[in-house]
Amino acid sequence: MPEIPKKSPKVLGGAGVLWMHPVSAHESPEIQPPLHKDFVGQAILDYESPLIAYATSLLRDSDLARDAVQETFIRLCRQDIAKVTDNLKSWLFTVCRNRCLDMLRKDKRAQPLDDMQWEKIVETGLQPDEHAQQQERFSRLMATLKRLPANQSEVILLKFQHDLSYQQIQQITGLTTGNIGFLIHTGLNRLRAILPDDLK
Amino acid sequence: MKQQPEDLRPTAYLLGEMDADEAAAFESAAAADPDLQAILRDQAALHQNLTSSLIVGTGRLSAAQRQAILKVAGEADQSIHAIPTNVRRIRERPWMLYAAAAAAAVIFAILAIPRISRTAPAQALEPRLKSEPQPIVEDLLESDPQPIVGTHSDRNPSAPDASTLEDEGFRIPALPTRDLLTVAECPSLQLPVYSGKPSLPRIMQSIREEHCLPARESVRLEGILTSFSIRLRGITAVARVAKSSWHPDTREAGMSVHAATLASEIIPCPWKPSAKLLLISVRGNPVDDCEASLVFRPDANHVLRYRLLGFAPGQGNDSGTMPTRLAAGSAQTLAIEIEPSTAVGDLGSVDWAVNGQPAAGISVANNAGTEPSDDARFTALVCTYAQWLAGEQAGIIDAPLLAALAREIDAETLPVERRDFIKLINQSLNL
Repeated sequence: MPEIPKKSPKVLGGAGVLWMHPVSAHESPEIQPPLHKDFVGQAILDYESPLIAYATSLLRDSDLARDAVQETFIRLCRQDIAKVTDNLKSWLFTVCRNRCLDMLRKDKRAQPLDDMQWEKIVETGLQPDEHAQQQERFSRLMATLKRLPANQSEVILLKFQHDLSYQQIQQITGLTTGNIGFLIHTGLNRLRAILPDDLK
Repeated sequence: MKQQPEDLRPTAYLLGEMDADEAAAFESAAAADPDLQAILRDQAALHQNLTSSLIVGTGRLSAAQRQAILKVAGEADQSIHAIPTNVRRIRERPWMLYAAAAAAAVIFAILAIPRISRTAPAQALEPRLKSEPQPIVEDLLESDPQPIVGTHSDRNPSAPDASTLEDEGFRIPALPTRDLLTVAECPSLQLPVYSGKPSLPRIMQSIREEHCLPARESVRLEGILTSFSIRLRGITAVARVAKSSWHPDTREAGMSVHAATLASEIIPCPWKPSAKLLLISVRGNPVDDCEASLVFRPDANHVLRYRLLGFAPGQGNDSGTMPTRLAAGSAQTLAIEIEPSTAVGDLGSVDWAVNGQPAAGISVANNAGTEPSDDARFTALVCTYAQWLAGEQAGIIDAPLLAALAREIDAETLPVERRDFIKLINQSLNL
């Protein structure tokens, strides 16, 4: 039997690191409130690439995806940091998703294209030839995922690419956790059936 | 236990979406059901496959987009911090102001009075404090709590000082790309002996202070290489010239003196596996300037095409008159990309003369099995980075290749300047 997976820990905003330095008892957080510039700067470092990858999967266009992510971070600049820091990842994905859907609604030309401009694979210490192999594998897998219904492929990506819990996916997509579990389950079954043997 | 098509439990279990009680109950059921165990194994393999394959991309916002975001963030901070919170708190509680003033007075009395009463002048300590070295290493490796051990300065002492750039009215010249030359059309190429303006400080300024990649025409490979002291491990030749001032009465040690040293090394070309990278280093003697004239003669039987990297005063074989001045104690490194037509055989030779006197040339052996030296690998990295910045060979040299090469070379024992250079590459890739 496979090893028991641990419950996904609640993902705290990575950007919180900047202003979560230990505060001494006599030093009230009110005296040194976190700066948006630092907070957002750290959030960009932590979530820029995942958000662009997610937005690209929705918009099928990396340039449009960057625009959506830029607007997401600008929205973050106008937020009360204290209110978003505990669920920053979900918040960013939610805003990014909404922005992408707005863009899709406004611009029909951005509807899914035949040839998607997937983001490149992240560098993971691979040799150049290994990198090329991984990139090819990623592209083929994404092409197979495209054959699933949009809601199935989206929740699978949120789960397996972005390591989000059902609860976080619920916050982002508005689906119930039961529905998310069903979509992932059926999507995986379908994926198993259509994946080429060398990708399984 | 038979799994129904709509049984979501295996998926939820493998994804960690069951609470402890549900997971325990499911495990009990699965322990007694071989079919369910097989399903779990099958699904676990798929999950592992997806997790390892669906890696987040390296997509980055453009520098302009980041700046736009941070500008908005800065404006938000200004609106929030228009009246600093700590000032508001003092206004609300004015007694804190008096308490703080009293505390400051006490601290001043404790620290300052004993020092004033000492007989030694206070300024005796001051120069020593000012002359303490700056924490270069700490700045270089922010994440490294320990200073680098065993590193040494790698700065080329002959490299011009960056501070003189503006004084000399540095202008960025046009940078036409030198094409690959066929041996038939260009059987020999005179090589420039001129280290050029140091391009590296300008690149650092652009990336670290202006947070953008430098203008392509400002990237000069020769101007980057001149910032490092490169020692190659291949065939080396020494040129000696007659000492014109020799006289028996002066009891000079010999009739000739060392004028310059030519070293070479040939390594696999990192961005083109079928090609070779010939590195040539010419180093002047520490006393006198000299005129060094170098000519690369590719072997027509074994070389298809070649290209001198950097130094792009002209296109094609329009080499013009190459500079030959080699300042005392200076060194210069050249790189030539060679596309061999055969797997074995000498690729040619480098002939040279110093102060008009021919010196023993060096042959360029296609020694495929030799391990490149650290300096040669670093030089190859510099060449890759410069071409990436300049947009040369864009279809071949890309960010992943550059990152892979930099990671391969990076080590804690690298000289400070080289680690700083690798850090610069990392910063460039993240812009």
